Amino acid sequence: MDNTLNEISKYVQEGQSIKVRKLTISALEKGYDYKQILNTLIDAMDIIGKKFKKNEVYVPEVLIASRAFNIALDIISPLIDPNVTNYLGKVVIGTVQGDLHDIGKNLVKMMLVGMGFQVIDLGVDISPQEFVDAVKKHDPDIIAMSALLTTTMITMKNTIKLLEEEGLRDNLTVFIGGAPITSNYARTIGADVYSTDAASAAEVAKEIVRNNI
Amino acid sequence: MLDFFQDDELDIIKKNMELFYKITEVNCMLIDDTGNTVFSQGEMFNYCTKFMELTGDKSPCCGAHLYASKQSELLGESYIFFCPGGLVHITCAIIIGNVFRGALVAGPIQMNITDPYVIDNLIKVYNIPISARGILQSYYKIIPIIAPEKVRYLANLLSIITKDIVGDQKYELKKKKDFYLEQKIINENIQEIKEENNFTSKAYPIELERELSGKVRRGDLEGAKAILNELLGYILFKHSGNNDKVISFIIELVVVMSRAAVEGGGNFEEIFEQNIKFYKTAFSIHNVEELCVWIVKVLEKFTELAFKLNKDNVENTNVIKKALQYINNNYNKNISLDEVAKHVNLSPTYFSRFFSKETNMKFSEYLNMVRVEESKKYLLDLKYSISDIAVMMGFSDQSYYTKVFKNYENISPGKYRKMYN
Repeated sequence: MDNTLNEISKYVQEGQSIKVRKLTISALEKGYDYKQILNTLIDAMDIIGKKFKKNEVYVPEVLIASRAFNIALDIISPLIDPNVTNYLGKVVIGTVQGDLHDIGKNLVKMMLVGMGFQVIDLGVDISPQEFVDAVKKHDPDIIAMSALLTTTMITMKNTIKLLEEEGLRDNLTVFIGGAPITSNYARTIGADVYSTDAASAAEVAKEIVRNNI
Repeated sequence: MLDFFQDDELDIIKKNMELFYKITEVNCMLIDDTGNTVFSQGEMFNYCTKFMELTGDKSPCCGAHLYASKQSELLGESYIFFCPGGLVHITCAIIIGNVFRGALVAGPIQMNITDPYVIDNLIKVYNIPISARGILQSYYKIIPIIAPEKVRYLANLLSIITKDIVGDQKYELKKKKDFYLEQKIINENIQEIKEENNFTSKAYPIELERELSGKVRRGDLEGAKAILNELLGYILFKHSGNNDKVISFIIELVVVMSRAAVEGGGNFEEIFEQNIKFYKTAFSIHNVEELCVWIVKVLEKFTELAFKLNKDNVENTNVIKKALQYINNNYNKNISLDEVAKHVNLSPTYFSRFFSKETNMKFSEYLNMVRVEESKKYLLDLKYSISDIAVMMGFSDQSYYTKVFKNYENISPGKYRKMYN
C-alpha cells in the first residue's frame, strides 16, 4: 500500500520541510486529492498540538512542524482556490488582543480554506478596532475570533460591542473559539457560533453560508 | 544610544552576554525599547547584513526583534521565534524598575536542517531581486544549526542570564510565568470537560471538594493544586461571563480549604485570622483571573496550616516534603518505611524518628491516612466492592482496611458509602 500520506504526517511532525515538500508533490503526482493531503497535514499538526499540551514536545518543535506544514500548504493552496469567484464565503479570522498563540486559529483557517472559503488572516494580538477595520475593508460573511487565555476572552465581547456600535453586526456571523471558550460564554457576549474544534467550526461555517444563500 | 542603560547596568549586561556567547557560541545582542541594537556579542552574519541591505528602509528586523521581546515580557519568560529572514532567534525582555528597557536577543541559528525554501519565500515576500538568491543561499548555509531540543535549553539559559540582570524584577517575571502556567492548566481542565459528551448537564463536582479537603488535610500540596485547578476549570467553564457567580464559587472554595485546615489539626484562631485577611483581599480583586492565581496562594497557606511542619530548618522541611510527595504518589503500592527512607537518602531508623518529630505523626499513620482519604472517592462509586477498594489502596485485606477507616472516620467504609450515595 502507498505510504505517502503517513510519511507526510511523520515528517511534518518532525519538521523535515524538504521531505514534506517532496512528498507533497509526489502525493499530488500519484493522484491524491488535495483534501486528503490537507487532512493529513491538519492531523499531523493536531498530534503536535496534543504532544505540546502534554509537554512531550516544546515550542521549538512546534515551530519547525508549523513551518513544514506551511511549506506543504503553499504547494496545495493553488489547487484550493483556482477561481476567486467560486468562494463559498469570506471569513476574517484572528487571535484576539493579548493572545500570542495561533495553532488553533491556524487549524481553523486551514479547514476553512480547504472547504473553499476565502480567508483573511489578521494574525495574532488583534484589537477590537483592527477587527472592525478588517470587516469594513473586506466585508466578510463571517468573523472568527480565537482566544487561548481567560484574560483575553473579554476582547471578544468588546469586539462584538464595537461591531454593533459601528452598525456592522447585522449581516455578520460571529464565530468564537479557543481553549477557555464555552457555549455559555458565546451566548453571554452575543456571539452566533461557538465550536469546540477546527473541523466542526468549518462544518458550521459551511452550513451557515449555505442557509444564507 | 549607549546612555539608555546606566553604566553599572550595562556592565552586568555585557558580562552576562559574554558568558552566554562563550558557552553557546550563539550571537547575542542587546536591543533597546525601540528595537535598535545597542551592543552585540559575536560577529554579525553576512546573511543578516545582506538581508538588511536588500530590504533597506523597509527592513523588518528591528520591528520583529522588538515585537518578540514584548511577547517575552508578556509571558514572563524567553520567547523563541523565526525572524523575518527565516532564522531562529530567542529573546528575553529586560525589565528594570517595572519598565521595559529592552531585551537580549540570541541568534541567528537554524533548527533541524538547512531549509532551502526559506530564501525562495523571502524573494517572494520582500520582492528581492532573483539575482540575490545564490548569495543569500550560500550565506544562509553557514548559519549554525542547533537541534530543537537544545534550543529549548538555550532559551532557558538566556532567561537565567536575563534574570540575573533584572535582579528583583525577576519575581515579576515569575509571577507572569506562573499566571500563564495556571491559565494553561485551567484551560486543559476546561477542554477535558468540553470533550465529555454530556458536558452541558454536568453537575458541580462536589466530590472534588471533598478530595480537595482530604489533600489539604494531609499536606499534599501538589495533589491539592491539581484538584483545585480541576474545580476552577469547571467553574470557569460553566459560568464564564458571569463574574459574580465565578467569584462566589471561588470564595466558597476558601471556606472548604479553611475547614480542611481546621480538621487537619491547624490552629483554629490562626486559621480564622487568615480567613479574615483572605476575604478582605478577595473582595478587593475584581478580576477573575487574578482570583484564580490568588486562590492558589490561599491553598498553599491553608495546606501549610493544616499540616504543620517544623519550619526552622529549610533542609528538613524539604526532606519531609519529598517524603510526603513520594507517599502521596505511591500509597496504592506496597510501600515500606525502608523504601521511603531510601528515596530521601536517610537510614530507615533515622528517617522514622525524623518523620515523627517533624510531622507529629508516625510514618504508618500518615500512610494509612492517605490511603483512607483516597479510598473515599472509590467508596462513592458503587462499581467497586469494599474489598476491591481495600486492595486498590494498598491494604492487605478488607478487615484491616475497615479497622483503619473506622479509626479515622469513626464510621465503617460501608456506612460512609451509604451516607454519601
